[in-house]
Amino acid sequence: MGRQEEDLSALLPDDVLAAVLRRVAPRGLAACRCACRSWRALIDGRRLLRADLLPHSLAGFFLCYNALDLPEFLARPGADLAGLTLPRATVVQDHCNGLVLDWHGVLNPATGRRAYLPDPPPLPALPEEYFLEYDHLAFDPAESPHYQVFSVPSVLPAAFGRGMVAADPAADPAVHAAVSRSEWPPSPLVPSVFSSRTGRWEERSFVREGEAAGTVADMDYDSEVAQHSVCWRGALYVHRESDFVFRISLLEDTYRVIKPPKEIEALRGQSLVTLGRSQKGVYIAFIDSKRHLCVWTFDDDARDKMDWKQRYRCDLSGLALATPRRYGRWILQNANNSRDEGGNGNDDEGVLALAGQETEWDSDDEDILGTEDAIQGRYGFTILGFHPYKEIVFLHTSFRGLAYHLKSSKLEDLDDLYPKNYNDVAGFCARIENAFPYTPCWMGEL
Amino acid sequence: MASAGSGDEKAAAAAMITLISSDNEKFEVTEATATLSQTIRHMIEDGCTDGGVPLPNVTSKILARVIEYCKKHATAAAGEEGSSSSFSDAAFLEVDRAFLEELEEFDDAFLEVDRATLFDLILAANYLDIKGLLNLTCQKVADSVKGKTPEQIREMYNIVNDLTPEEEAEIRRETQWAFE
Repeated sequence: MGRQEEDLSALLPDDVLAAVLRRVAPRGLAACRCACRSWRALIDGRRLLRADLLPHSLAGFFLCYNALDLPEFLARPGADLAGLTLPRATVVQDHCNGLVLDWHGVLNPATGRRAYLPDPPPLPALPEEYFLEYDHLAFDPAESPHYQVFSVPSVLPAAFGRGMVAADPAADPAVHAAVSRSEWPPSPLVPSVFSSRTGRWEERSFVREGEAAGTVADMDYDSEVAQHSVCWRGALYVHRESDFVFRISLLEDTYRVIKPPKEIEALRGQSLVTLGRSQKGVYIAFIDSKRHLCVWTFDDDARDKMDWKQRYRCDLSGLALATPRRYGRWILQNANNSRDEGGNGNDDEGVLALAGQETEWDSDDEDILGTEDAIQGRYGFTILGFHPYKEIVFLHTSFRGLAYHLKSSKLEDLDDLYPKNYNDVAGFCARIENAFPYTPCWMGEL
Repeated sequence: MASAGSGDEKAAAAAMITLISSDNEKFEVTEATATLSQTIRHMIEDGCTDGGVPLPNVTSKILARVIEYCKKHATAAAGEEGSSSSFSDAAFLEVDRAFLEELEEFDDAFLEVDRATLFDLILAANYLDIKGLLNLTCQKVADSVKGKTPEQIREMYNIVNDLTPEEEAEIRRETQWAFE
């Protein structure tokens, strides 16, 4: 009947073909993606291949300490970390869906692959004594195997080294006045973007939808902002000075300024606000002066009315800090110390070999400190970040690592986050400067 | 008239249904066999099986195979129910295992068909909503892809490669690990 010559797969309705392909292991699926357009479209459209390789679990946190050569890794119990490659740079700049950005470039700790990025071109048309770029990773393996690095400008606070730049802005008051009065962020915003697809930096132009955050002068806060970013549903969210958030649409070449919730705006950049991704998407959180942990989620359902919605307001003051501490499940790897002691002269990236962590961490039970056995904490809390898939905020108070379960209001001990012998190098300056949740990914270009 | 789900097993087993293939061949099957198909089960429940059930999407050749499968598995289902009621009896467990092995052998032999027939069986299982058969046949196709290159997959299923060499190279690059 000639049936043997027909394209057999074309006979099957998409749902049935999907039922077939869903049973194919990742490697086979990767071959099927190559068979023809419709198979690739189906496999990608239904995300059949990615399920096994996509980041889907939290392996731990990268913690960047003041005065330490390497970031430390705080490992979740049960996470399979054997062979994990740690960044070699002092500072982790960003993490996005399994890729880590450091000063050398982009690293996939799970596969050990690394890409060295060329230097980005200088900022176009922005006087450098006023602005500084921060790099952010945009990688969503569910959408594309390619990653991008966005070099997004930020207004440099006057107190932060404008004096170090040769061209003193005060020397030309007219320029200074003009720059100060100009709108921020500008439209179009023209960041340099590195694409792993092309292997090059390019200037990309993003037109603003909606209002600006203010003027350059308005942004001139004498404070630091943790430059976190989140990649979520085709947009890159970048936390910026005065706690506004860039929402850069990766598909439409537009961006929006998302103003912070009123409570945060009123603090004029003096609060330590943390942007992160969690169960329902994009979150921000900060701890107010009364030790309330305030958490908002970003609502982007309606295009014109994108805004923050308060989701939790939790009183931490009466919680926690039961003694004795019950550490031992999460483990700080002490990468800096073991490198010094080991003396194996290995200058390459440290490869983590772990033993004795068989148990799976169940974030819902065990070792949870109830309010009843709690005593008042003497020190303030600092937010490390969000659990990417569950509504849990990671915190520390004087280096005691804690996980706060937003839904149940329960607190859980992680580990002592004070690295071994850290006191020798840091002394009174000991500080966790930045933290990134790490979700291993085996998919993508790198 | 014995209606389905009356709990009167004998009556249900005795009730016969007529299935009519696309080429107008008639097949008499028991209700227990026919109701492995959710599609037919719903028709019976709706009481619209008098005068036979026309199945315009299934040829007699394929319907005969499908009925063969359903008969075997309907007996298996009945056998399972029987043995589970005397679960403690080791002899019954032994019988049970032997029966499952036999069923597995049946399934393996059942799948020894050419690819076009296999695809027709998938389509019929999908249309008739027979979960077990759909699982079985889909798994067979999925297994056939294992360890194959894209070229071999195309050859097996007569898939026309409509990707440009550049596109194909790009797709391979995206999951380089799978081709190493």
